[in-house]
Amino acid sequence: MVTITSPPRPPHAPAATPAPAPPVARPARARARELVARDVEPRRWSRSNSPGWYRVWAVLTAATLAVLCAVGSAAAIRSAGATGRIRSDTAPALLGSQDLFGSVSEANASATAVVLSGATGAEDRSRRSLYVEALNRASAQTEELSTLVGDDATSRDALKQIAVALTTYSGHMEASRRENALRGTEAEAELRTALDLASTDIAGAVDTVTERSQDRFAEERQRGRLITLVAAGCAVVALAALIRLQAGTLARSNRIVNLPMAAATVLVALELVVLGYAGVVRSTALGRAESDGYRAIQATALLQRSGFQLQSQLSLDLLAGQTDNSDTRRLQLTGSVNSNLAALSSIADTDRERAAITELGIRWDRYQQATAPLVEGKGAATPATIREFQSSGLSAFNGFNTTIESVLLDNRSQFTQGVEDADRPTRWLPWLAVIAPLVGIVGVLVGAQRRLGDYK
Amino acid sequence: MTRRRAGGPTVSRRSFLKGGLGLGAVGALGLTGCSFTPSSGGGSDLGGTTQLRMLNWSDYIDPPSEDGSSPGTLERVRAELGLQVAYDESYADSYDGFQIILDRAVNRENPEFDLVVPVNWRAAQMIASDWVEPIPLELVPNHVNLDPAYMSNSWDRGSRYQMPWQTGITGIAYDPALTGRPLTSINDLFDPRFKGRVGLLGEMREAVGLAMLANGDDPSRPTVQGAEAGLNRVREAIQGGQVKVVSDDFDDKLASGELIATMAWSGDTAVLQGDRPDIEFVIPDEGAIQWFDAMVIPKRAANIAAAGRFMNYVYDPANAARITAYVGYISPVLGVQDVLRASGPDGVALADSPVLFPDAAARNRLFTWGGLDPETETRLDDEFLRLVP
Repeated sequence: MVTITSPPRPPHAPAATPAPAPPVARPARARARELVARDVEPRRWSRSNSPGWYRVWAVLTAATLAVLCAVGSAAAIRSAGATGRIRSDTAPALLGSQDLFGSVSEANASATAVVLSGATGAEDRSRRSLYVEALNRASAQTEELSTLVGDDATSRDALKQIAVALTTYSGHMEASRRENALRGTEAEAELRTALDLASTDIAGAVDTVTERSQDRFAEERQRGRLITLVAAGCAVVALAALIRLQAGTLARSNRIVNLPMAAATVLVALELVVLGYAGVVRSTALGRAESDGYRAIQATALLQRSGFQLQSQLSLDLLAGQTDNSDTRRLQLTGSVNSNLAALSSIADTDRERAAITELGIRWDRYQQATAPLVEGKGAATPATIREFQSSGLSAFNGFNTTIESVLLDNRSQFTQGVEDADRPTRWLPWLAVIAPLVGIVGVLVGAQRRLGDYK
Repeated sequence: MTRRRAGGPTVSRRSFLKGGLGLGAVGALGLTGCSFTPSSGGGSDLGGTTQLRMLNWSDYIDPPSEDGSSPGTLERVRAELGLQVAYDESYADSYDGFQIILDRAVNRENPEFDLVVPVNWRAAQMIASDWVEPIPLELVPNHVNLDPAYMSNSWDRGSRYQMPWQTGITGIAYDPALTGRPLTSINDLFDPRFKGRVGLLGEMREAVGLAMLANGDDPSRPTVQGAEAGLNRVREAIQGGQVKVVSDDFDDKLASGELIATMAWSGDTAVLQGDRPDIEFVIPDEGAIQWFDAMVIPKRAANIAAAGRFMNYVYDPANAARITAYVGYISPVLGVQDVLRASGPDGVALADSPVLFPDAAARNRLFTWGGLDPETETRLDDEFLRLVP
C-alpha cells in the first residue's frame, strides 16, 4: 500500500515566492497514476523486494522457456525431419543403389549364360527369364531411385545416364543373342560391348548414386545430432532458471512449494531427459544400422559383384575358348570373392547370420568344384562342356547367388530396423518440444501471480 | 487333392525301404557333414525344441514297414532327435482345404501347428502376407542341401521363409493301348477322338497353365490375356464334354479304363506304374507344370526350434531318400539321387527314373506358375471353380 503525503518544508527555507497561478486542477485518478508511475513502478520491478524479485524472475524464466519453445521445437522438427528423411529416402536410396548393381550384375551373368546356351542350339529358358527379370528390376529400381534422391542434381544425372545405358545394354545383349542364334560372328563382340557398358558406364553411375546417398546419410545423421545438442542446451538453461525461481520462491515463502512452478520445472526436466534419451537412442540406432547393417550390406554386395563378374568372365572365356585356369582376371576375381567372404564372416554378429555365411561358403565351394573341370581344360569349349557348365556350374552358381541374396535381405532387415529404431523416439519430439515449454510458461506465470496475490 | 492317394506304395518300393537305405552310403557322399546336436534348452526366441505339431497332405511321408522292421520317418525323428511329432494329415486341397491353415494357424494368437505344408503359390501368399516365421537357419545347416532350382522364386529369393517338401510335375499320363498312339503334346488332350475320356485336374494353376503352354504362352511369366485365353480353352473343353474334371482319383480312373489320358501328377503316376508299368507319363513337348509343397512355420508358432530341427532332419539326403522312395515325387534335396543309387538295385531304378530326376533338357521344359496380381488370381480361381462340378 502506498501513502501519499506532502513533504515538510525545512525551517531555514526562504520564504516562498508568490505562488504562481494554481494550475488547472487535474483529476485525482490521473494524479494517482502519475505518482504510481514515478514512485511505484521502479519498485514493482526491483529485485530488492520480494514482489519485484518474483516479477523479474518470472518474466526471465518465461522468456527462457519461450526461447526453449522456439529453438527446441525447431530443433526437434529438424531432427525428426532428418531422421525421417533417412528412413524414407536416404536409407532406401542406399539400399536401392546396391540392389540396382545387383540386378545389373545378375542380368550380366544370366545373359552371358543365355548366349552361351544359345551356342549349343538350346537356349536356357530359365536363365533367359532370370535375365529379363533382372533387367526389368534394374529399370524399375532406377525409376524408384529417382524418386528417392530428391533434387540432388549429381544423383539425378547419374540416374539418367543409367537409364540410357540400360537401354543400350539390352540392345547389345539382344543383338548378341540374335547373332548367336544365327551363328553370326558378332555375338561375342556384342556381348563384350554390353558387359563393358555394365562395368564402366552403369557401374560408375551407380557408384556415384551410392556415394551421394552415403554423403546424405552422414549429413542427415550429423544434422540431427547438432540440433539435438542445441535444444538440450536451451533446456538446461531454462531448467536452471526454473530451479533458481523455485529456490527463491521457497526461500521467500516460508518453504511453501509453489505447485505450478514445480510442475513447470518437472516438465522441463522431463523434456531434457527425453531430448537426451532420443538423442542417444537415435545416435546408437543409426550407428548400429550403419555398423551391423550397412557395412554388412556393402560387404555382401561386393561379394555378389565379384561373384557375378567371375561368372560372366568364365562364360566369356568359354565362348572364346580360353578356359585356361591361369587366367589372371578370373584368379583375381576368385581371390576377391574369397576375401569378401572372409570379410562378411568377420562382420556376422548373429547365429543366423553365421549359419547363412557358412552356407554361402559351402555353395561357393560347390561352384568352384563344378567349374574346376572346365577351367582346367584348354581350348575352345565344346557344346558338351558348355552343357555341363550349364547344368552343374550354373546351378551351383544360382545356389551361391540366391544365398547371397538371402544374407543381403537379412542385413537389410537389420539396417532398416536400426533406422526405424532411430526414427521412433524422434517422431513425437516436436510435440513435446512445443508443449513442455508452453505449459512451463503458464506454470511460471500462474505460480508467480499466485505469490504476488499472496502479498496483496 | 492329395499328393499321394492313400492306397499304399508298390511292393518294390516297400521292399526297397525294408532293404534299408544304408546310412553308410550317405556318409560316403559327403553331403551330410552338417550334423546338428540341439542344446537342451533351445533358443528362447525359437520356442520349444522337443514337441512339433505338423500339418501335411495325406500319405505324404513314409510310414513304418508293415512288419515293423523298418521305422518310418516320424519314428526315426522321435528316436534320433527325441522329437515328438503330432502329425496331422488332414490337409486336403489348396482351396477349401487351405481354410484349416487359416483357422488353426494364421488367425490364431497361439497357432495349433508349428509346421504346415501348403502348395508353392499358397506359401507365396502366406509369405507376402507376413504370416510365416523365417526359417531358423542356425538350426537347419542342411539348408545347404536345398537344390538351387528352388531358391530363385521371386517371392522368396534364397528360400528364407520356406523349404520345399516334395516337388511334382503335372504332365500327361495315358494308357497307350487305349489311345492307340503315343501322346506327346498337350493338344492331344483336346483331340476329339478322345472326347469324354480325358481327365483334367481341378487345380486352376495347373489346368490353365497347361492350356497356356498349349496356346504358346508362358505360365511362368503369365499375362492376364494369356491366362484368360488358357482359361477359355479349359472352359470350352469342360463345357464341350471333351474333358472330365478329376481330382486325386485320376489314377484309379486311368487304371480302370474310364480315362484313356489325363492331366496327372508325377508322383501318383509313378505309384500307379508300379502296378501298371504300361501306363506312360510324359512331359509334353510344350512343357509341363512344376509345383512344390513348401514347409512353412506359421507366425507365432510355439515350437519354431522343433520345426527347424525337423526340417534339418528331412533335408539330410539319407532321410530325404526314404521319403522320396515312398512318395514317388521329386526331392528338392541334393544328394538323394546318389543315396538311392548307392542303396541297391531298387534304388538304382528310382535314381534312373526321368520323372523323379528329370535331366537338364526336361527341366528346361518345366514351368512353375509365375503368379498374377492377387485380384486377377482370385477372379481366375473363382471362374475356374465355377467350372468344376
